[in-house]
Amino acid sequence: MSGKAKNKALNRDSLAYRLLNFKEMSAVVPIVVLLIIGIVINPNFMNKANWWAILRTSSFMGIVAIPVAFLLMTKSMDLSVGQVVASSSVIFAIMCCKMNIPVPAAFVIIILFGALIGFINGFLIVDVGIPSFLVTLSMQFVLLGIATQLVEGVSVTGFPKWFQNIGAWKLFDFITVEMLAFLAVGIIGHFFLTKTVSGHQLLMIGTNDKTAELCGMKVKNIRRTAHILTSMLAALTAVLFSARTGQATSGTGGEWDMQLMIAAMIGGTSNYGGRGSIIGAMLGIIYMRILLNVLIMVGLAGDWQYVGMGISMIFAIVFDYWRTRVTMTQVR
Amino acid sequence: MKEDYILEMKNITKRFGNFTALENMNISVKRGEIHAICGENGAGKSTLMKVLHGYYPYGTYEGEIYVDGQLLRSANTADSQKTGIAMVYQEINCLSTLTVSENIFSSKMLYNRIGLVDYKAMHKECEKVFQSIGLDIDPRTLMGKLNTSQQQLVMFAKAVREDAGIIILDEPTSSITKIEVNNMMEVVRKLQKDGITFLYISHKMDEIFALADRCTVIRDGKSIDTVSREDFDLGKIISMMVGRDIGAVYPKHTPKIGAEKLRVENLTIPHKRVKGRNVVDNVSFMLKTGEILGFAGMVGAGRSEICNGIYGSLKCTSGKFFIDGKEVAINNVRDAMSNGISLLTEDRHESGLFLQDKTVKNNLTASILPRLRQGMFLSKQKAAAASNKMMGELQIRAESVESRVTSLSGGNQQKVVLGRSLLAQPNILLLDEPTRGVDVGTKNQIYHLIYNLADAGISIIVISSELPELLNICDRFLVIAEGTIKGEMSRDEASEETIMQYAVQ
Repeated sequence: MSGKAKNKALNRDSLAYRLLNFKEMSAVVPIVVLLIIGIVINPNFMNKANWWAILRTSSFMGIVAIPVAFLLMTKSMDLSVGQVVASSSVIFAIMCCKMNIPVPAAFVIIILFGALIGFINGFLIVDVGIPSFLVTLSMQFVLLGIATQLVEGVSVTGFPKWFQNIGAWKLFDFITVEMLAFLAVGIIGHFFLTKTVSGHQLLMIGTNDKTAELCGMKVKNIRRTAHILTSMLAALTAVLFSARTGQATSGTGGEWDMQLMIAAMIGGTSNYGGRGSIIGAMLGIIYMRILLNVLIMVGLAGDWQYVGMGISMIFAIVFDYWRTRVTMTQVR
Repeated sequence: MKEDYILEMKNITKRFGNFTALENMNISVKRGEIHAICGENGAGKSTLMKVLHGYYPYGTYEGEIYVDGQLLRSANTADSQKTGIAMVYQEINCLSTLTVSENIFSSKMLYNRIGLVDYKAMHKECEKVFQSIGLDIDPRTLMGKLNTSQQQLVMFAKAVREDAGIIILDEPTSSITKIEVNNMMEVVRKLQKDGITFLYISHKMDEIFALADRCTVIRDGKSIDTVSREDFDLGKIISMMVGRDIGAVYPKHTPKIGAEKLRVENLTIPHKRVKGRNVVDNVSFMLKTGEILGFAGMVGAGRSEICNGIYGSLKCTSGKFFIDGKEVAINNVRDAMSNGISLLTEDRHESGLFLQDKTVKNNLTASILPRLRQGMFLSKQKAAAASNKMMGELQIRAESVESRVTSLSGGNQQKVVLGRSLLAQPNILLLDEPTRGVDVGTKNQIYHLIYNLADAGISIIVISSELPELLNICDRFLVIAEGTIKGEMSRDEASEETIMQYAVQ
């Protein structure tokens, strides 16, 4: 901290401090802001169909955002998740539609495929010691090549009717399979992180892996598992996505990698490792989908959406930076 | 007669929010003297030096600093450097990927006629400066290849080349060996003869006594008193530092040594990068119940590596371990822990603490988390109970177990790391530099603790680079050099001289 910076000290017991001290606050505040904007500009914003769409797309990405948050907490990252989704959906579709492999068998195979990719990533990063950035970026290209080569630009269709019915199924005329999956992964992830010994160890490993090793933690195991889990859940999302759309293209999941990481960071997960929140990551991804929704309503179509998304993400991240500084300087 | 003061600090007060780090500090430094500043950790030594060096600019503190009678108004560290104040930090902050001469000229490179960096001239000038202070280092070597002591001396050379009149040394001996300390002191004395004034910050009394002309004791942000060389007295200065009489620095202890606890046979650990070289070479020894065994030797002699080998954190190519006469397999840290071995690492920032937002509780319980389970989940109550107990036992000064560990002073941080080792309830405790960077008061507490543990039947190995400390607390000594045991001696046989003889053999 520079000597000149005026240090407006917040009282630790004050309501403002306690509110700001929530990791998830950096996702909650922008969501509230967006909600207000949405309600003001469009009366249809709050209707059920709109929210169903928002939550549904959030769920697909959210299932992967949760393990990505875990990866960030261990000071790692995965730039290949998007292409794991793409290649899994393509391979899954080819198995089901062209090779006539029964869907349940194809499902198992594709989840194992995800696990294999995750294992390769994890092995190269954890055991060989290559930076995660390089490993997963290379893996991204490998998978991108596979996915595009296999379908050659066309979409694969022809899933069995019962499988597509799963994608169309609704509980209370609102809740879908992927929403349930998102919620389940989120709840398990949250309790794992906050309540279990391994969850605590994961955060400690992210803070200082050398010390963690000397404390008898299974550092390599936990870090490798996080990578395997990430790719497995990416494969799961691919299957759910196919069930919903009834087809598979190589474009699915294309730009997810960065968006997932940013969502996790907006939700209070530190990209320096050792700190994070699963609820925050879930809110972060929901924020990004609401944002897209609002941008479309404002009339920012096409590529302008990217500009809007980028700017608002910067705001969200600056808010998080400011929040951490205000709450962290208290200790001095 | 008016004294010739090169530096006068008058009524310096520095506040951080509500916290007063320095209060009415008054220090006068005579031209050409070596002026020691001693105080416990957290007494305000570092803050004072940062004020002097311009890290905290003029105006952010109260009071005045006069250099050569001129009021110092530094806006940044570069301003202070211009007035001739140079600082060599405790953690040497050099650019390790650049060469020695690039480091010396890092603030202003030399350029040739067409504006390119003139390496030849820089190397030449470097050699000149090195010669003048008796340093034999090639200016073309990479800074990172030098050891800590050499880097430190290069930083001296840098200060000399920049025509510094005052050089501040912040705990210069905290990570170098005894011989290197002597070497450094010689350079300091030589430079003093050339008219350079030194501010020597340390809490090692033997160094201050050996080197300083005068010594200012500071405590709780206040300057207590300045003592001249004639009046140096260990007990007096220490009691000024801690503000109370702590009795003898090294408490009395009668060892209660039992049967053999741990036996190590033919431990060999290969060098990480150099093939065919061993950092620990065929080492065998044993440790008895309730015994405090000291590993003496130089930094880099292989002492830490032996401990890490026993703890399973370094892979060994050969080695058998026997605990209570039975052979045990130690292939990783978890094996060692389940056999009741615990290690305190030498570098608490690098491999001892979990920093960032981690709390005292997080740090204390880190190695016993699996034991704090309640059903599937981690029990908050058990974790809090365990850490509160340890916090009380070790008198860790923190607001609560939920305080961030970064907000603690060095001594208390060390107690936290120690507390973590103790929570694992070890039978064999490996202490690698247990008092590094810790003030006298805390040292005393740690010595008492070590004795109590030994009395409770725990076998302890202590590594320390401070020989007097080692000589005073251990029951038996192994002198280690070049990865092998060069000598073994009992408490009665051991002295600094005998140990050094073996160590440099």
